[in-house]
This record gives sequence, structure tokens and C-alpha cells, in this order.
Amino acid sequence: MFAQKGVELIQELERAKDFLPPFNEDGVRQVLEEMRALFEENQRDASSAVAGESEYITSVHIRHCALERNKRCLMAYLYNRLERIKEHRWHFGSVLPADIKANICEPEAQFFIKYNKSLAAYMKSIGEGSYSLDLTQNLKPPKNLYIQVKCITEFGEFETEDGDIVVLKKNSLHLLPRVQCELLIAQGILEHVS
Amino acid sequence: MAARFLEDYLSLNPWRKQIILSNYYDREMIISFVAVDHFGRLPKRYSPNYFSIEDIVLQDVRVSCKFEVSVPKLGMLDQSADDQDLKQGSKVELPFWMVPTLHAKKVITFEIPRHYKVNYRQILQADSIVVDLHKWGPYFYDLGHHVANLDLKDSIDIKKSLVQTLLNRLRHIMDMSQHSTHHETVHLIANLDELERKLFAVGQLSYRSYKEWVRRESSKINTAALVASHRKRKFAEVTV
Repeated sequence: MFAQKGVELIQELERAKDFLPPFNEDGVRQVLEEMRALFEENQRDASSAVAGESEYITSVHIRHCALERNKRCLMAYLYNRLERIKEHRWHFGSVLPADIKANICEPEAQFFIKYNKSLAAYMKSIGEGSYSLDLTQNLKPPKNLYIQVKCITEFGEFETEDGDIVVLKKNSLHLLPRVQCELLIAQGILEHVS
Repeated sequence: MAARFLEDYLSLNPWRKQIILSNYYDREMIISFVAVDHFGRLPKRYSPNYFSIEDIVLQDVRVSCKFEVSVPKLGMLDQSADDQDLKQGSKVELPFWMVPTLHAKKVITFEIPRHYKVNYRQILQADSIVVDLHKWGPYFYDLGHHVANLDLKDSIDIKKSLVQTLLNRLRHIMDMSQHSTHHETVHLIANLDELERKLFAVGQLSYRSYKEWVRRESSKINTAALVASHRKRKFAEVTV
């Protein structure tokens, strides 16, 4: 049956709802091969249909349908992966963990870098003078400048904006400026204790 | 066309605007649904677009069709015959995504999936709340919408029945979502269609964030959900 491989690609994404599965290069190639075969057959049949054998038109229609379907599957596969990569930028910060990086292919990595750049350029462009607005900060309205946090991983030394060095050891409690620990909390290194 | 697409893919340009625009189709807003993406946000309107994963998956169901004309060289569609050509009148199970085009060109006649037929519509009319819609096709409403759009003589009736069913069931779904914590969810959503599950999830989310606000926890910063699940998976890998 037509377009089986394409749907398999999509189902792979559907099953992996909250993470990015490895780029299925093999699957994509198989779909492209199927498309090429369909396309060549269609070319042949279309030329004989032009030559007068009109019953071939139906076969061309059916194959074209399959081509469109395959195309839609591939496009949706690539597009949805990019959407997920974008989402990762907001949650993991500008550097992805190594095991996620291993799952994206080279063009996707380039996209990530470009996305990073344009996001940074945009954040720099808003705000006056040397101040730029970090859009990933203060996703929830802040109530205090300082918050109490508990370190839940062995992180090591962390330099705050005013030059102090805090050693973040596992299970240690700190009172830190909210601005500086928000990303660390989102990344699961610190825990907000209220 | 395939060649062009191949070119686009290789030069990493598949996101060209004109392709996206020419293929992006809006469904008419007959049933005004809401949908949630996989991070729980609510887009403003519901229209499965060209890239919608769900829309692609749900169109993969098989429909029994009968060919009205003979098709040369495509005998492989009918697995019970080993002819090279497909004869006129042969009955074949085709995936749903083929149906709209071929139906419009009068190549095939098809049988509408049984859950949208008159007797099933009568069941829904009698009492839609007890029906296990998940069994009737996990994407009951969305597929029904596609079927009804095929310009059949039942189209209007199917559309009316879909809207009425959702209206009847919605109140119950909303009610459940406002009175359940996440522990009991599995039983509650067992007989809900995928769309209804999304609605349920939205209701539950709003209830939970209300609770959070009452406990004054809404200003607490949490680990991002994506990061948390990533860690869990990593942890599972290490322990295995």
C-alpha cells in the first residue's frame, strides 16, 4: 500500500509526545525513494495518456494522491521537529544537553543556532541603551527580589552578577537574586523553596 | 514534483513560504472546537492544518471502496487478485486520505465508516453520554467532519449529529474535569474521544491552577515540564 513509511514517521513523532526522537534519516530516505518511483511511473503513464490512452489518467490520479500524501507526511515530520526544537530553546536555554543534541541532524542543528541568534538579536533590540530585555526571564510575576532556593544537583561554583561566588552543593540552601536563579530552576538544578 | 521536493529537501529549503501557503487549508468552522498542543496551551481556533500530526494519523483509517472504472497497472491495490490491472467493480480497502480526491473524480464509490451511519446516529441520539466514543474511533469528531465534508446525501445529518453529540456530552466532561485530581483520570477518560480528552485536560488544568492559586503557590518557579521529563528518562536509562 502507498505512503506507509510516511505515516510511520509521523506516528513516531506522535508516540514521543514530550521529547525529540532521533532524526529518522533512513525513514525519510525510504519515503523519498517511494516518491521518486511513483513520480517516474506517473511521468510514463502521463505521457501515454497524452498519446491517447485515456484510461491511464485514473492511475496517474491515484499515484498523485499518494505523492501528495507522502509529501505532507515528510513536511509535517520536519516542521513538527523544528517546532519541538524551538520549544527546547525556551526550556533548556541556549545550550542543549548532549543527549538531545545527539538526536538532531545537522541542518536542524544549524536551524537551532540561527534561531538562537535571531532570538538574541531581538532581545537586544528591545530596551534602552545597554539594557536588553531577557524574554525568558520572569515568566511568572516576581514578588521578591531574593528567593530561597535549595540545590538539588551537584553544580559547583556559580558566579553571581555582582561577582560573588556561591558554591552550589547538593542539598544546600541559598538566598539568591531571583533574576539569576530562574533559569537554573527551570533547568532543574535548583528548587524554589517558599 | 517529487524532484522539486527532493531539491528543496536537499538544499534545506522545505519551509518555503509559497509551499506552505498553497497547501495550508482551513476547514470551515462548522463545529467550533478548541484544541491544545502538546504543551497544554490553547490556540485561538481549531483547524487541523497541513502539518497537523493528528490529522495525518486519523486519515489513515481504512474505508471499503468500490472502483467504478478499471485502473491499469494498479492491481496491487487489490491484494486478493493478482492481476496487473485493477478491474472495474473490484472492492478494495483504501486509506481515507485517498477517498476525497477519488470520490470527487467519480472513480470510486465508498461506504461511509459504520459509526456515522443512521443506526449509529440513532444510538447517539438516544443517549450519547454512555457511548464509548474512544472505541468508535479515537478521533470520532475529526474523522466525522472529514466524512461529512464529502458532499454525501447524509452530510447535513452527520454534521448535526456530531454537534449535538458534543453538546450533550460536554457538560458531563466539564463536570468530571472540575472534580477529579490526576489520580483517577484514567478511568474517567476511558470512553472519551481524543478531542474530548483534550477538553478534559484543559478543564483539569484550569482546576489545578486555581487550586495552586488558592494555596498561594502560583508565584513559585517550577522546573520546566520538558526538562523534568527529560531527567526522568535519563534517570530511567541510568538505573536500567
